[in-house]
Amino acid sequence: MDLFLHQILAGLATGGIYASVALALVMIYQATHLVNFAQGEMAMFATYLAWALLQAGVPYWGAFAITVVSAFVLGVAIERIVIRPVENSPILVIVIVFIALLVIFNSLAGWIFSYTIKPFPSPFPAQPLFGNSYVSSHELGSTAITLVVLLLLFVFFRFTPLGLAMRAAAQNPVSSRLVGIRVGWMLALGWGLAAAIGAIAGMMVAPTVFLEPNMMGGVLLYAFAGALLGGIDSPGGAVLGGFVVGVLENVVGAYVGTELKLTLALVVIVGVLVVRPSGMFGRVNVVRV
Amino acid sequence: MSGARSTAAGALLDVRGLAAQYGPTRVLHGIDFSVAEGGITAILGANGAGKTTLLRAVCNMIRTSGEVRLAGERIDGQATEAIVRRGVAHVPDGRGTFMNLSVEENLRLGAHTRRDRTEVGADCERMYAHFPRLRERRRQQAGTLSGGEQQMLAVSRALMLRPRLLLLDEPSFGLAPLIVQQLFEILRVINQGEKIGMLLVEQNAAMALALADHAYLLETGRVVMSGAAEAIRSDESIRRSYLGY
Repeated sequence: MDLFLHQILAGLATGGIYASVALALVMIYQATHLVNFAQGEMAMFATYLAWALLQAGVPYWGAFAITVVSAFVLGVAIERIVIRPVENSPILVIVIVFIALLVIFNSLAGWIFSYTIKPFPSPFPAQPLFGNSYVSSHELGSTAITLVVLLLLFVFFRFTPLGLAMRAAAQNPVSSRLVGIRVGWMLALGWGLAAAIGAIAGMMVAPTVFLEPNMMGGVLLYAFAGALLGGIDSPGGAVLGGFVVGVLENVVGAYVGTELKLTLALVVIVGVLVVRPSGMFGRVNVVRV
Repeated sequence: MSGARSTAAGALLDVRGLAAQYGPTRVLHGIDFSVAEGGITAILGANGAGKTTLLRAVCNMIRTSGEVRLAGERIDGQATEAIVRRGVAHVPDGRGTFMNLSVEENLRLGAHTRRDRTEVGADCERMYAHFPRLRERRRQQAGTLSGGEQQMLAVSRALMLRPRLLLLDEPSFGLAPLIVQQLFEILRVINQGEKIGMLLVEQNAAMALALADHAYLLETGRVVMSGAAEAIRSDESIRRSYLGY
């Protein structure tokens, strides 16, 4: 029973990471109707930046803040410079651009920082908090940070005029222009936010998976499975899906075998696409004819 | 029509030689029209005459040439968002509802460019006073509204800008006759009370002519007739041959 409880709690901790990345995927998806395959590599690259700052002697939370802000700026810049010119191109062109970004960030990280695996510090103490024996401090701390990020995003999108304008721009660009929203900038802002969320997820997952250019590959796959499970166009669903996938992954890993962990993500993806393509909370698009 | 030039001098909207095309297909062939300060101009015409295109051309949603002046200043060539910021609100073809947002969020989006945030709430209340149905459904997803309610929402959203000029694309489309009458009555009240100029595109010529002070008749992208709404309405031969009622 103890083991089971531990697996659930540890699953929620990694699930929080998947939930964040899933949310980043959904944000880009809502605006472009495409999944940004480079989301994970952008997060990985940001994590390397944090590592470099830490090596240079910057205290952890300082490095954390600088990394989040830099990732935001990088995300905006990528939208403006790379995505903007291909915005109205056929889907395949944009998909190729996403894949190109993935490869570019991967190689760039390898070239600058080498492919050797590096340890990445956790900001939380090594001893479990409150003397509990179920969850490590890092699991607890990263879950807390994830939840705070998700809460802040919820408040931003739900209650601020800028958040409302961003939702409007993603949903209905034509009408948005007609009420004076600068749609192009809203999309760029979305990329910036997604990149910043990814950077936080990267820094939270790096202490467990270790820092290397391919560290986000698995995370992105699980996050994608989570986003699909919850509904690729539903932010709340994607977050829930991320947590569910995290727990499932851990439980399967513990009781069935670690070999099948990654397979599980693929089974979820294929299963959802076959049985319920819009996910648990996704909108089924009904078109009036 | 001898007075057209002189009235255009002090016009809220003055358009000269407006042409527009979709790809290689020309839809508007250099048309002139104007909306007086606080006036209502109607553009009449059958399906495919270019009425919707004309509104899109005014706020630069499509490739356009010609001169468009708002209160004397050139606005042609400016981005749609920039034209909106100058006080041109548009009730578009198809109503442009933000389907997944609530009725209230739709209204607040209409005021997106305004700086006086504190007054936006009061303006929402004014819209609810005009259209009580919207108040009942303020928390509801706008996509669940009926066609008539969405049309009221589209007009309200446009008014939330506190515009100088309101562009209306077939507000009567798909509405029951009684609701059309209510809607036009409210437009009249708003026009007289707040001195908002209106450019009204309509197939329902009788309703439009009763509301407007000036009218233009459009046929395949050209103005074939224009004048005071009253004069057109009372000229039986025009009514019979062009307006069919």
